Amino acid sequence: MDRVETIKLSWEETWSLWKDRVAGGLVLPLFFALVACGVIVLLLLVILWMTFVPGLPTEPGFDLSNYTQVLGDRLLPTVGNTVLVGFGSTAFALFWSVSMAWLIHRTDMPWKPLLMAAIAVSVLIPGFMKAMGWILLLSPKIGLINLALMNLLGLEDAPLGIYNRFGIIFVQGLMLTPTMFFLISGPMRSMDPALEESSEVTGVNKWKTQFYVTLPLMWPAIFSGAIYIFMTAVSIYEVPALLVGFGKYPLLSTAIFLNTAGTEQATKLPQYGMAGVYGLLITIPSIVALFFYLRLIKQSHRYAVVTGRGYRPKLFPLGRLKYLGSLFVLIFVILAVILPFSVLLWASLLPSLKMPSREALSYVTLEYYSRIGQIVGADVIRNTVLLMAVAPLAVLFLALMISWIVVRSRLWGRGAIDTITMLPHAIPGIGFAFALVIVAMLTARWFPWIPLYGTIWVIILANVVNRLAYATRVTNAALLQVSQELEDAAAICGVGKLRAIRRIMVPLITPSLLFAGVWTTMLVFREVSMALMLSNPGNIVFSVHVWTRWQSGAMSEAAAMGVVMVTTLGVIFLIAQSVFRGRLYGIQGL
Amino acid sequence: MLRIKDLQKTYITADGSVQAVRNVSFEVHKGQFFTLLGPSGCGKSTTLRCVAGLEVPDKGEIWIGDKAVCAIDESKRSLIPAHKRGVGMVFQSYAIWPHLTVFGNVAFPLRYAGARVPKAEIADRVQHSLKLVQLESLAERPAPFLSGGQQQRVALARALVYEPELLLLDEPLSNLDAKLRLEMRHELRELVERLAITALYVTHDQEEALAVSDRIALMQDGHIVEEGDPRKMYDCPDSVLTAAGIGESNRIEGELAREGSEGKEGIVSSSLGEVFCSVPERCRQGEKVTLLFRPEDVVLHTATIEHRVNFWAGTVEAAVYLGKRIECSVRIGEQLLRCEADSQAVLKKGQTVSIEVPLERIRVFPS
Repeated sequence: MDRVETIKLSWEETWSLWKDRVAGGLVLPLFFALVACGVIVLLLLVILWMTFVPGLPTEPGFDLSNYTQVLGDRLLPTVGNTVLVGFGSTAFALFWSVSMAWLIHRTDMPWKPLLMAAIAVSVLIPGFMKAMGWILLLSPKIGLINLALMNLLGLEDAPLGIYNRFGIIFVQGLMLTPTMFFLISGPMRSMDPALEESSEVTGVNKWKTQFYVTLPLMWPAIFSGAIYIFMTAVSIYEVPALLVGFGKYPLLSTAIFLNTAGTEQATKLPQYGMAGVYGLLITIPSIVALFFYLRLIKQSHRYAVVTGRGYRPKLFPLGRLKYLGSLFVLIFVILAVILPFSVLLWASLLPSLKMPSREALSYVTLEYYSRIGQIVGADVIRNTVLLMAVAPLAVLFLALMISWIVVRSRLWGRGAIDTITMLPHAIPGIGFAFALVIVAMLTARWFPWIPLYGTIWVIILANVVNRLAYATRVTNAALLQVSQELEDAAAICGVGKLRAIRRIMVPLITPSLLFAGVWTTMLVFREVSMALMLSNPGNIVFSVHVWTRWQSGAMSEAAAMGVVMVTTLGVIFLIAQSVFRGRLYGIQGL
Repeated sequence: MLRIKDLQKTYITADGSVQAVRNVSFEVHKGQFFTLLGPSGCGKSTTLRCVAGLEVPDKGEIWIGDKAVCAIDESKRSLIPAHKRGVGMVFQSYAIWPHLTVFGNVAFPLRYAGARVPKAEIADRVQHSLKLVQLESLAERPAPFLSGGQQQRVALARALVYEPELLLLDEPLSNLDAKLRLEMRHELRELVERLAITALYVTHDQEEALAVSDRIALMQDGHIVEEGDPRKMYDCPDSVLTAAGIGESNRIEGELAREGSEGKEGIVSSSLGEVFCSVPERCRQGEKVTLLFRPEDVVLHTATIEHRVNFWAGTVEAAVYLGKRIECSVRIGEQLLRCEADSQAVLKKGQTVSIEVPLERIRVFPS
């Protein structure tokens, strides 16, 4: 029925239309959207620029020496290790998440709600604490599992090791599994059962249908999730740093950290230029991956698996195997939650780690908990509270402004704004943290009145940029759900625009905003990698404090603080869950 | 009650501009049920949204009652925003606010629009409005728990609760299933008549338009092709576009072989052979003309009878039994004709039949 003519617009017409729309109440959102996009682009340019700066960013000079130095500095093994760890972690996470998503959403396995809650809870234990827990379990010297096996089998040496690449893959895989699980849960749940039924009606059996129909239909969701997981996996440095240190098994992520922050022993001065080159080596593949990711997301819409309509997918009858399914999920929960958390709890009660025994019980003390008050100063608490309060508010505000432009306007260039805000989804947090280290140094030099260098604000800024992509996804969806007609209807009824926004728009999007806010609060609380990179005696937050205590050998204190941190997260989670009545599970992204 | 003059609207999209409404003018009298009929993309919804104030036309005037709510041309630009026009509207998607109950939805305009209505009065008026659409029992139900038909009624109650003089309806029945649609169609017509309000109705469904309207304007490509009451639009349209646009018809191209004169019918030679029909006076011999007649006007004979005027033999190509009638297509030479037969008739594919088209049922249009 398209018999309408279309005429191309001239530049002048586009410009005048643009001016009209800007005058039409979009000035404020547009300003903040452009500021947010400007900051993201600026930080990326800072990384690129630093690769050509030989010394400190405040010193003159512009050459390729950083590139030649990186080439001479074990580049190939570094990239090779990174790719290996990235693929390994992704494969391990895919193995768990795809199987568990299928078991929980598409089969008649028992105890589903409980196990699903347990998977969500595993998000509450930060990756570096999973690593700490598994060190206490598998370290060759003190690891409880190793000691138990040596006792049991009468071995001289520890049978299992964690201080190697497999340890990294194991811990990172466990850490990324819940993210992947929630990324594919949506498509898995909302699949049209008719697609499977039609296969069965044509005579294909149930198992084959799952393999030839369900799995291919899930493929875009799985693959796009895998890209995201891979990019996250290669950028984690706190886990490798805890497990293999910085020198022995070089990775891009640890190299960035090492060249930016130096080491604890300060044997090496920061080499920002080299860190920039390593940062670029992670950032460029990330942008390429993001391109494919966005294309896949579009394609998966074309697959029309996700129609949003209330499908109730048919549950696959597992028969006698169903308890095996529950056991499978339970094993994951044991590995990701129960074991690391209980060993941390145990370690926090003892002066030094011992096998649980009657003798060990006599050493149990709450001393390390009572010491937390002294170790953690008022400034750390102030920093952490500021971070948890300001970062989510700022992220949500910016995300709302951006979505307003992207969803509600027809401005030219809104697609570009949308894409730029997606960049932090793919580009690792340490990339932005590195750029912010440089920016903070430059502002301290040239604009000393901006409180960035060594303050909590630079950490807040890093978290805002890092969470922006995720928050805009939520606000985009929230605004899209409020269709224009709902507001038109208010106007027709004689209700003015501002009042319509207050009475229609606000009540409809508030649940989504609260929901995203609670998650952002929890995620910025447990975030350690960016905060560590930007840390300074003046801006230490709780997670950084746990990490440094552990690195300095105060195991029991670190364990006690870790337990406090996980408990705090758990309490926030429980409160939020009772407010949202369980809808917190739907959330993705860590 | 509603007067529209020279309305023009061009949409500017990323791919260029689209002329949605071009010079549309019409007038709706008080109490009239006026329908804009046309295929999707013909500009009917845009016209309606301009009346509502949800779109700003590029040019044109819109008068509601004796108030100009919109008057735009090169020199002046006066516009009353949507929330001050005081019209009622039912949206295609119903636009029921999902965070409110049925009561909350209907009470919304009374609570938050310009004039404050006392609380007790709100409850009374909402109840009254819900009674009009027979939903009094569901007042406390949250909006997401309503069926399509119920949402439709809520939308209607909400549009009527502040007693507008003009009611705008944007394809209000298109999301309902067939049976409910018929039911709601009558109810809507009856309600508008009872409340004596003026209605501007937009639909693409011809049958619906014929059933509910006092007056129909057929739109195509942003123009009004023809305007008139339903009987005129169906039975004796002025243009071939209207005849083709409303209802089904057989369309045959031909050439005028003999002009008609007083009391004498003309003859058109076509692929059917010679067709006798009454020819408009302006047509001249040798001119190309288009013949149109409705399937239901074709008389189908299965028994052999003596030759008559406009009488041809053909074979049945397809026959579809529809309960109250049989729809069939009959081939006569090269020409395929659609016609209807009595449901008692026995028709088989390939059967030979005779076709008769009463000459007064054939309409002739100059090509």
